[in-house]
Amino acid sequence: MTTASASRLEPHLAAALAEDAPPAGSPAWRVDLAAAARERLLADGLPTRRDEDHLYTDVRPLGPLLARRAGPARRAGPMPADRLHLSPFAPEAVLVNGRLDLAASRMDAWLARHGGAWLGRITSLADAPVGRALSTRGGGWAALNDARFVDGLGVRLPAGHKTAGPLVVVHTTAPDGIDRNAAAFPRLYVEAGEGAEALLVEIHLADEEGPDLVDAATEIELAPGARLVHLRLQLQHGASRHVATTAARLSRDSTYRLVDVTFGGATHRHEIHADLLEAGADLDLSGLYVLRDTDHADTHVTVDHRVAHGTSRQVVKGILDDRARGAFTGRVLVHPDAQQTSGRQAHHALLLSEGARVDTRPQLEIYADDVQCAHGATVGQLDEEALGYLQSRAIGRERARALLVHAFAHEVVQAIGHEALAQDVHRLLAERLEGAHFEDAPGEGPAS
Amino acid sequence: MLEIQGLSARVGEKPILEGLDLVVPTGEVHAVMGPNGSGKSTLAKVLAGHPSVEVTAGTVRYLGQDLLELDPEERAREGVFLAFQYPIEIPGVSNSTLLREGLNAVRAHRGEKPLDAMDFLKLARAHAAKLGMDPTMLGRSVNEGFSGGEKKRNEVLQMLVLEPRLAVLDETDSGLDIDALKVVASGVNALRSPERAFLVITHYQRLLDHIVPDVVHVLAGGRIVRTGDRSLALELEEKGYGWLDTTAGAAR
Ligand SMILES: Nc1ncnc2c1ncn2[C@@H]1O[C@H](COP(=O)(O)OP(=O)(O)O)[C@@H](O)[C@H]1O
Ligand SMILES: [Mg+2]
Repeated sequence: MTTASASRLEPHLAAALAEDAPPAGSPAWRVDLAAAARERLLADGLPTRRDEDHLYTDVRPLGPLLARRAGPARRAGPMPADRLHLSPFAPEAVLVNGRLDLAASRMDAWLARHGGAWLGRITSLADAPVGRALSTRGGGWAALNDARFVDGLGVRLPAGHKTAGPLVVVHTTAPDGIDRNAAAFPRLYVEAGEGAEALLVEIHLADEEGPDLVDAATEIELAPGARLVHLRLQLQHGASRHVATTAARLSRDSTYRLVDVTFGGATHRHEIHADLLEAGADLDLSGLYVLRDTDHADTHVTVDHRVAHGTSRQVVKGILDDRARGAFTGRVLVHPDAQQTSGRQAHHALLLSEGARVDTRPQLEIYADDVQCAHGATVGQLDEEALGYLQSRAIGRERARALLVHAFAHEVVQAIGHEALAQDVHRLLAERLEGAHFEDAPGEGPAS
Repeated sequence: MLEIQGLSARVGEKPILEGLDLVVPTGEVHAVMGPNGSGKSTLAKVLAGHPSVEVTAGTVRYLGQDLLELDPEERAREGVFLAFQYPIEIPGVSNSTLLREGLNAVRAHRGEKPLDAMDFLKLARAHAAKLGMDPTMLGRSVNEGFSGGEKKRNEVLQMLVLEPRLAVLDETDSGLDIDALKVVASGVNALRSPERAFLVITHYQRLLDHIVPDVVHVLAGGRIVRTGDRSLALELEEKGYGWLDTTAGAAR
């Protein structure tokens, strides 16, 4: 390749990208998307800590894992959502190492219940703007996914469609028979037509024997008046590395509510981008990260207010124990025409140990004059007065601590707006506080 | 039930209680009165094991045990209850969670089975109704956005649910209008029994019209300077605390 000499990408990575190019017979958009991403990666290289946007996350350990894309694998054992005892919803779609597992999915049943809606392989989509939402602000991780995703899941909800109950998508990993030095590239594309309403649950699990890196990308396209609640649960095991990009395009009067819940991992980096393209668009981001040991979670949010009368709210909370490290960057851009924008942002961290640390970086860039923007940040410990009060009511100190941790998380969990799922998240939090790991290790599930 | 001997305590560097003696026999209601800042709340906090108060001397025996040796939750499980003068707000922890967790901790301590959600709710609702409280407050966060009076009622609700042996009420009357005061007093009176004792801390004798005490103590200068019957409260109401300061001084 002639460009390789000028490339900032290491040769073996450049070779891997070429090797992972979409196979013959792929739709034209897929080929173009991969080619553009490849070009971009060759020119820019991988993100490094020298990039302003990557200040808090050391990505060097990820490089070697990117040399090989994880191959197809089947997972055995019970469904991961069953293992997690999530509410009575089996997942509609299961993707293993970034590939749809049709046997584990129940897409036909879902389609039967949702006439007019579409759910299937993303590469079966002929005319969808796949890649558009991610292209605006997506960084190197999104480009890597663009270049290398295999088949991913596509969801299309027609105008006025209201889904019955949550649509659950599980991404997991499994050993592909070679080794763990590999990366999976799960992809999810969701399109909600005019006035459509849905609750999407995206769960990320990982098998400890599976590929060590997951580079996930999710894109959301909301037509006017559409309302999407998106619960994203990252439940990979403690040694896992997860980089992800979630991008949403919001048209007139649409609402995107993202509840982003993360339970740690060696490296967790989530870039979130919301593009408020038309008047009345509303973004509501509630984030919760729960870290321990030497977990590292970095949430990087960018909100573009491009036109007048948009609202965005971000509340991100961190619970950090041991020597965990959390970071939050919240960038809110109010473009010159975006008068009467309301953009609020808050990051609150609860430190359960002396060794834990967080960084907060609010970035308000306001080019319009009639706007209301605010940001707030707090870092604190558990309130001794509150602990004392609970103890004076016979509640043991450990239990009192747990109650206060749940109370801290409650605002975020409530934002799901679905009682059973909210309880699930509280239960996962309780299990984590008691020391549980959530790896997707087949065969350890409850006999059922 | 409660025997306090030579109790000295400080808050930060500041000595507040200095050699306080007080005995409350089982089955009795004792009132503690005294000027603002005399250390009434400090005494209450010593009994509850509040971490802001440091005991520097003296002993406190409760039902034959060394109370000061027990953690705050152990005291509560053994039946000590303090209705705080200034109850704090705990956003995100619901009243029903607090009550149920507390009650089941007490029950476990007594070797009883935990109440299930339904039975608990029935019980909590019944007590709330007694206090004229809207049952929806059970689902709300502890004291969050409550008025002063609502917080006080909520303290009494907790007391009714936990059924303590020794209840310490710290100015539970302040912030209550007369109707609320009667409701709260009837809640307390409903708990009165030969197995229980109450320490009712108040600044005004008004409450004692509704919760009639067996004994009245006056706390000033860090110790009990007077002990008498109900008429002592009336005398204080009439004369104020000014005349006591000299008495306290003379007692030194
Ligand atoms: N947290 C505190 N820090 C410093 N001083 C305190 C604190 N709490 C109480 N005090 C002081 O201790 C003394 C006794 O207070 P308190 O027991 O609340 O009195 P009372 O309840 O009789 O009004 C007062 O002089 C008060 O100023
Ligand atoms: Mg007081």
